[in-house]
Amino acid sequence: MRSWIFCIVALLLVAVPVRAQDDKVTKLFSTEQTEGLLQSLKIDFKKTPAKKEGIFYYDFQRGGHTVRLYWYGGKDLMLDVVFPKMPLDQINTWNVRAKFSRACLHKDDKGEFTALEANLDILGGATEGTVRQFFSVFDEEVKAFAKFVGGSAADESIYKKVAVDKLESILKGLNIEFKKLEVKGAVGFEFESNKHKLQLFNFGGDDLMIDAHFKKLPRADVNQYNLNRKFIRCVAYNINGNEYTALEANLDCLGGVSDSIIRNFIRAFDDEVKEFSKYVQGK
Amino acid sequence: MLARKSLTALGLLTLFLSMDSAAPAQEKDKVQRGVTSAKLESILQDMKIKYDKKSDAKNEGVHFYDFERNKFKVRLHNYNGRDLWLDIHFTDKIALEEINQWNVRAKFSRAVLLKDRDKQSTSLESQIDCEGGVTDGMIRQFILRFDAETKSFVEFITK
Repeated sequence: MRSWIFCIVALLLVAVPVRAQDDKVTKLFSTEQTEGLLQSLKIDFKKTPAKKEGIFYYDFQRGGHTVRLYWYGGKDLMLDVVFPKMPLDQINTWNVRAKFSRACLHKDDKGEFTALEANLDILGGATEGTVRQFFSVFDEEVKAFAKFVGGSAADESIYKKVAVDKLESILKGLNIEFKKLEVKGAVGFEFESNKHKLQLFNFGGDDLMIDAHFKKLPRADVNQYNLNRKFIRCVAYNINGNEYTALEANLDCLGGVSDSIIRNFIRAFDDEVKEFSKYVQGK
Repeated sequence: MLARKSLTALGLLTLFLSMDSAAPAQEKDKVQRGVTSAKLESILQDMKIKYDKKSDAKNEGVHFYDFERNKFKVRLHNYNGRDLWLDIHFTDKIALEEINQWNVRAKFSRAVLLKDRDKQSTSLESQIDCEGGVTDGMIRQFILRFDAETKSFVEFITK
């Protein structure tokens, strides 16, 4: 309900300057109009035709991000910015709260990535002001999304020691409910993610380790998993007769890390756990 | 498990706290969501690492940097700036059980048994995810840390 009210107010705000400019309503936004608008916004773009006829891409830099404008025969426009791969639940969280954009997980031959996208339908009638506003709103969405993903990379603060309260605040920011553990030589946090118990350890602020435990696997299967995956280590343990397999990842903080790097370290491990669960189930 | 990893790390950390401070004077570091070849090469040059660069003919954007560190042949892989990978291959015959023992105590590397027909070797390796954010300092530390992991691994297999 509240988001509808916001939408109406936002549309009214858009409509007022349009009326004031006495903009001409168009149902097709030509490439000339598009390029003229980009030039008026002082956007230096590179135009590329798509494989499919009647579609053009305009690539340009905006606010430190590479933006692509898709021109679909003048009937509709799309803007997108590519971000690193994110967990689906985080993408969904954005989509629940976003009004003028959506985030999607895509895959190409280089791997998975997240795209922040927005579309504008011209066919129903739009003015140059509408398109201008579409750009301006998308700028704001990108800024907000970059912050949501983990702060603006350019001005993030970097530290070489991860304080315990810093780690706690990062976990809370990720909506992770944790139990603090007493461990020799480290501060531990135990929490659940995707029905798995995960443990995160902070070794004096110098490095972090995260792990999850699974059933015992043959050594050859453990080795095979290490052979096929990056960023993790699969290990067979036998602690006083208690045999299990652990999936582990470490983050060396001494070189300098940031909140978003730590957030990514924790979130990326979720995906690793999901993948490894499938592997374990198949054994 | 944790106690053993802590003990191993303690000595290495002390060593590397001093090594890190020996890194060249840095400009204000910033978080990047990937690492370009130019950036990586400038870091290697700053670290006075002489490398031989090769590119993967089959995969665009994949580059390999071969260099020597403490008499070991190291390969640094750059996968489209999205992640970096360091490895050293050992031809010594190492049993799977022993490889796992290394992995039990390791923190910043893993050992993997490689089998190619009747040939067997062991890869000591480490990866860093750049897409989630990486700093120049992290990349330098990644390389320095791997030196220590190598030294420790060699001691482990020749004990």
